[in-house]
This record gives sequence, C-alpha cells and structure tokens, in this order.
Amino acid sequence: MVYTLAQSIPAQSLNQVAPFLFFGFAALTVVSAWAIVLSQNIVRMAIYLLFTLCGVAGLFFLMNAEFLAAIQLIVYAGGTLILIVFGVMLTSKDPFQKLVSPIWEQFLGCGIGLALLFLLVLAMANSVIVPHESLGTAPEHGVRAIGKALLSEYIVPFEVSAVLLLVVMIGAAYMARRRA
Amino acid sequence: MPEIWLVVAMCAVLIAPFVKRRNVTIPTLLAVAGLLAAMLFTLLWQSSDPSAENFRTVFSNSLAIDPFSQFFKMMLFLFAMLIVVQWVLIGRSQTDALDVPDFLCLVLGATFGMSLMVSANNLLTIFIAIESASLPSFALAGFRKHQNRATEGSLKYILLGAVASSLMIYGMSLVYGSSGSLDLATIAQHASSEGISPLMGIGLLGMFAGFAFKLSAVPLHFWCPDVFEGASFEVTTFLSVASKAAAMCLLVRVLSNFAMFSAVESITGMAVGLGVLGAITATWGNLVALHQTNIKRLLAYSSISHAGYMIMGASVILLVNPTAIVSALLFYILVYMFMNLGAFTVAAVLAAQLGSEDIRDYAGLIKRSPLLSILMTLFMLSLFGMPGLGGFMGKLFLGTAMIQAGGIGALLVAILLLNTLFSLWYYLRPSYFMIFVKPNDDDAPSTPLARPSTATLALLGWCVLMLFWTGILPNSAIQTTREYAAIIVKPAVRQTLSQSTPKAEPKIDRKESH
Amino acid sequence: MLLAAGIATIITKRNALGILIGVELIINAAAVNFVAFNRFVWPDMIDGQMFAVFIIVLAAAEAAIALAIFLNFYNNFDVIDVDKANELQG
Repeated sequence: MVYTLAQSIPAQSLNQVAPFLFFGFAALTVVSAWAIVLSQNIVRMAIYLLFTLCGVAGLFFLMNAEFLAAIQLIVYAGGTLILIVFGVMLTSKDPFQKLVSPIWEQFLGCGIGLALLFLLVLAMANSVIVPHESLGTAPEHGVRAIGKALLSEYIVPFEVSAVLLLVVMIGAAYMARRRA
Repeated sequence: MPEIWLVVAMCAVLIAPFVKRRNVTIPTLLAVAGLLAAMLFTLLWQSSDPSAENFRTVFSNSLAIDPFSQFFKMMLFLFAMLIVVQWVLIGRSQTDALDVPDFLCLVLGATFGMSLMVSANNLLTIFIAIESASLPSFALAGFRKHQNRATEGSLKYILLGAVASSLMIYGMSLVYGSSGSLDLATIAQHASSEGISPLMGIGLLGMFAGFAFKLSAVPLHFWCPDVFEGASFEVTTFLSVASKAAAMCLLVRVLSNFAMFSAVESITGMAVGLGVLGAITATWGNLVALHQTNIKRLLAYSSISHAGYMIMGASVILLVNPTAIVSALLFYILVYMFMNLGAFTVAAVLAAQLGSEDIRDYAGLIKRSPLLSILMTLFMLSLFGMPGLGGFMGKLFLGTAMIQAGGIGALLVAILLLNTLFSLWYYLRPSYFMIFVKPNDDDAPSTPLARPSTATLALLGWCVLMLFWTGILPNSAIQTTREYAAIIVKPAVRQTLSQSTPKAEPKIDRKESH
Repeated sequence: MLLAAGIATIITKRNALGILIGVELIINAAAVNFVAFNRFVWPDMIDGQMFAVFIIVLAAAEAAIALAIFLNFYNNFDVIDVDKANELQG
C-alpha cells in the first residue's frame, strides 16, 4: 500500500532526499510491524510497536502533516505505548515468558492477513482514484489550519471527544481502583 | 442541543460527593434532572420550530437534527431515566455508595454518545459517537468488578469492540480515500455518480462490520450473552435496548443517505446483503436461545434475534419509500423498549428474591407469586408477538412495510414469520416452569415471595399499559412515528477553493409527505 | 501491509495485550491511509488529517479503558490469556 502511494508522489513536492526517507520510514514501519507478529515476547512486541509508531510519525512528517507527526510521537508513542508497557508490567509475573502459539495458528493468521493485503492491492489496482491536483491555492496544512478547523468545522467532534475523555477517565479510574 | 444537559448533569454528579460524601440521593436526583431537562429541551425545541425548519444540519453538516433523531432522542432519554429508576428500585442496594457517582456518570456518558449516534451525519461524527457510546459501555459491563463473570464479559466485550472499531476506522479511511469526503450524503452522491469502486466496497464492508458489532449481528455477536450474564440487570437492560436501538438508527441514517441516490445496481446488492445478515442473525439468535437456561442469556439471544428482525427491516429502506419502514422501525423500538424493560425488571426482582437467574428455579412460582409470574408471561408473550400486545403490532407493521419491496421483502417476511413461530418455544419456557413444573425436591421453599415495592409495581404496570396501548390501539402511536419518520439527507456544501470538483452540489432536502 | 500485520497479530496472539497491540496496528494503518489519501488524492482539504487527529485521541482513550479492564481481569483470574476466559459458555 505504501509502495503504491509512493509512486504517486508528485516529484516537485518533495526534495531530493525525501523519496529515500519515505522508503526508509515505510520500511521501518512495515518491518517492525511484522516483527510484532513474529516475536514471541510481549515486551519485545511493545518495543517493536514503538518503532512502528515512530515510522508512522516519519511518514506523517513527509506527507506535510507536521502536527500529526508531533502528536503521534507525543500522544501515541509517549502516552499510549507507555500505558501498554505498564499493562505488561502489571499483568505478567515474568516479563520474559514466551508466548508460543501453535504453528498452524501462526500460518492461519499470516495467511488471512496476506489474503486481505492481496485483496486490498487488487481493489486498489481496480479502483480509479483520480489525484486531484492542488490548484496552487496553497492549502494550509499547518498547525494553524488544524487549529482553525478544530474550532469551526470540527467543533462537534472536538467537544465530544473532550466529554468522552472525561467519561473514560472516570471509567478507567473506577475499574483500576483498589478493592475497598 | 439537549445533549448539553447531559454533560451538565454529569459534571454535577461528579461534584456532588465533594459537597456531601456518601450521599446517594443527591447524585441520583441530579442525573434524573439532567435527563429530564434534556428530554424537555428536545420537546420544546420540537414544538417551537416550524416543521420546515426542523430539517437541518448543524455545525457544518456534522450533526443532523431532524424529526427522526428528535423522536429517538426523546425515547432514549426517557429510557435512560427509567433505567436510573430501575437501578434505584433494585440494584442500588448492591452498589457501594462511593461508586454511585461513577455509575451514574457512565450511564449519562453512554446516553450522550448514543444520542449523538442518531444525529451523526458524517464519518468523523459517527466514529466519535460510536466510541463515546461504547467506551462507557465497556466500563459499565465490568462495573461489578469483583465478580469473575463481569470482568470476563467486559474483557470479551472490549476486545471484540476494539477489533470491530479498528476495522470500522480502516473501512472509513478507504471510503474517504475513494470519495474524498467525510459527509454521508456526499459519499452517497459520489457512489451513485461514479459507481462503487472495489476499494470503496471494502471500505463500506469494514464500516458495516463496526455497526454489526454494536447491533450484535451474527458474526460479531459473541459479546452479547456473556456481557449480559456478567453485568447487573440495569446495565443489561440499558445495553440490550439503548445501544442496539442507537446503532439501528445510525444504520437507518446511513442507508437512507444511500437510498436517496439509489440509481446504482450495487445498491440492490447492499440491500440483499443486509437482508441476509439480518435473516442469519435472527435465525441464529433464535436457535441458540432454544436451549438457554439462564434468563439473562435467554433474553440476550432474544435481543440478538430482535436486532436481526430490525436489520431485515432496515435493509428494505434501500428499495422502497422509506417512510413506512422507518416509522415501523421507530414503533418497533418503542415497543421493544417497554417489553425488554418489563421482562428484565421482573427477572431482576425474581433474581433478588430467589437468588438465582436459572429458569429451572422458577418452578412452581405461580403459587408463590402469581403476580410476577403473570407479568413475566405477558412480557414474554409480547416479545414473541402475541396479538393484542405491542410486540405483535411491531412485527405486523415491520412486515407490511417489508412486503412492499417485492420478492426480497416477501422472502424476508416469511423468514420473520418462521422465526417468530420458533421463538414461541423458548419465550414460553420460563412460564412453563412457573406454572406447570412442580419443584422436585420437597424441601423447596413454598412460602410466598415478598410483594415487590409499590414503585417497582408502578414501573411494571406502566410497561404493561404501554404494551396494551400499542397492541390494541396502535393507531395514535404509529401515527406519531409516521410523522417523525422524516430523515434529512443533505450533502455538505464545501467551502474549499477547489475547482476540481465543480459539481454544483444541490441542496436536497428529503421531506416525506406525512 | 500494516493492516495485514495487525490482523495476523490478532489471530495469533492469545494474550489480551497482544490483541490490543494488533488493534493499535490497524488503527495506525487507518491513520496513515487517511493522511496519505488526504495528501495525494484530495490535497485541498484537511479532512483526512483531522480524522487522524481524532483517531490518535480515541486510540489513547480506548487503550486506557482496555488496560483498566485487563487489570481487573488479572486481579480476578491471575492471567490475561483469552483462552482462559471460558467461564461463560453457551
């Protein structure tokens, strides 16, 4: 998927180094994602997830989404991942225990995954996606545009997610509270 | 925006313990007041606006406010209020006073999410609304956190929910990629003008997987019985009606957007697909329900099959004039709300007194508590669809609306009828045990059960009244739902500088003739 | 590709946390999709980026509540393997 997209990058929009960086980040993302699949240790899985997240952040950065790259690193890699690592530490007696799943299950999982990938690539090849050329109106992609949109067009999701975070905080705090 | 009152109430409920610790009454009253205020505002808003103005989308098309959503919101707030009442009557004694604000806050939060689900008009709002309805539900499912079954149910719930929602997001990303818009009507328009590309097809499939999880349609229904068995009765009632009904309304909104531009062949394919999904769901739910012995699991499978009936109904929206089917669905949801509330309340009262949720323990109950036995039988008969009770009318309206769709509709109606016949067996099992089976061990207690409190009886009585009213005199109710069955479909008018999509997007308001 | 990996992870891992990691992978795949479609196909809007912002926020919320539930499960059962969650059947 990343590969097909990479082919459609307008040459002038990126400088000379960018394609290499793009493939570098894409490779980092994909390789560590598969490393998660193949690894048998929950701590290692979490670390590989970190690499995947960083790779995704790099991709965001190259796709002119600097703000997203930043919050991907801060919120996702810095927050969510730490949560998961905490989860690992709090719930396993031995962090280095092996999680061995039967070989046929591994094949099944990889098989279904690859079949879906094949389906997606096929669908992509058969779908016409017309890239809509930018009209040189310099679409704002920066933090400023996102900020403006958040408080105008996207005010509803913005406010709702604020309420949602409050509710989730209550719920999580309740669930994790010690036995009274 | 009546939802604001829910948020206000939520904050008030959270602050209340700081004023008076361990007080249960104040937060409960605040929550009820918030729901009441939300309901009143929905009502007021309704009557103050002229009907033409009722069709509109707000906040750059992210929310649609139309008669359909308003009607559902009123039902939802009313139902949430009844849930709080039910909890006060039955479940409160089992909740630690310290946890009361948390519980109420979660219920309010879930209600908030569900009321947004009905209004959500673009992919982003749909996504956020679904999440803000599910995340509190996950917590509610595991609210009795020291019980193994509750935690297990909530674990399954959240794992399946997370997988389903991630598939939904992925599907949404593909839909966005192929249509270039997050707005439902614009997507539908794009789909009709340029056809549904394979990529978009996969995307839509993913999206419907997310909806199917909320509806507990068959491949994604495993959470339903487990969660229901583990959670307390109030939560079970809440999830079985509110969350499914909200998902149903969301599905109806998405489908009517597609139906608006139903020029394409593939729309028929979509309708057939959904119809098959509904049929499988209904049949599977009924078949598995046949050998359930736990009353909660039985009602869980019954709710799966009811969701199946409603999905079958919804699939027809794509083929015929939706007014009839939408009003039938609204009516069905209204009736279903009271049937389920009643059945679960009786089961909760019985569970509190017998200490068992197993229907085999109901043996001989007709002698010990004739009133509760009769009530249970009534609600069960209504769930089955006995003429004279609301459930029958719901199915009747659904069936007549479906049959307009020609061959497919007739087939679906046949499936509905067959399923209904099957379901009689398990709906009557609790009553069978109550009336005809003698408790086999002699030392079984034969003392009469304590009479439930007057308030509980009033709640049950109201449910029964509603059932008889909708069952015998359904005209006024169906009339009302018909008036409210209008759904707004309006593509967003983008204010980008882009000239590359020069299609003048017409403002299309769908106004049904009443 | 990320999606494939995510799905493979979900199927192979019996550990609840492993499944959560798989879900995170799929969510990331969706976010990349959104931004990429936004950048390369519809460059005049920022819808895709906005969606990605909310995806990140909600993924965090979901992980928080999931972990709270996992902790609870662990407290009651001493394991977090999904196979062990079999008390409820039928």
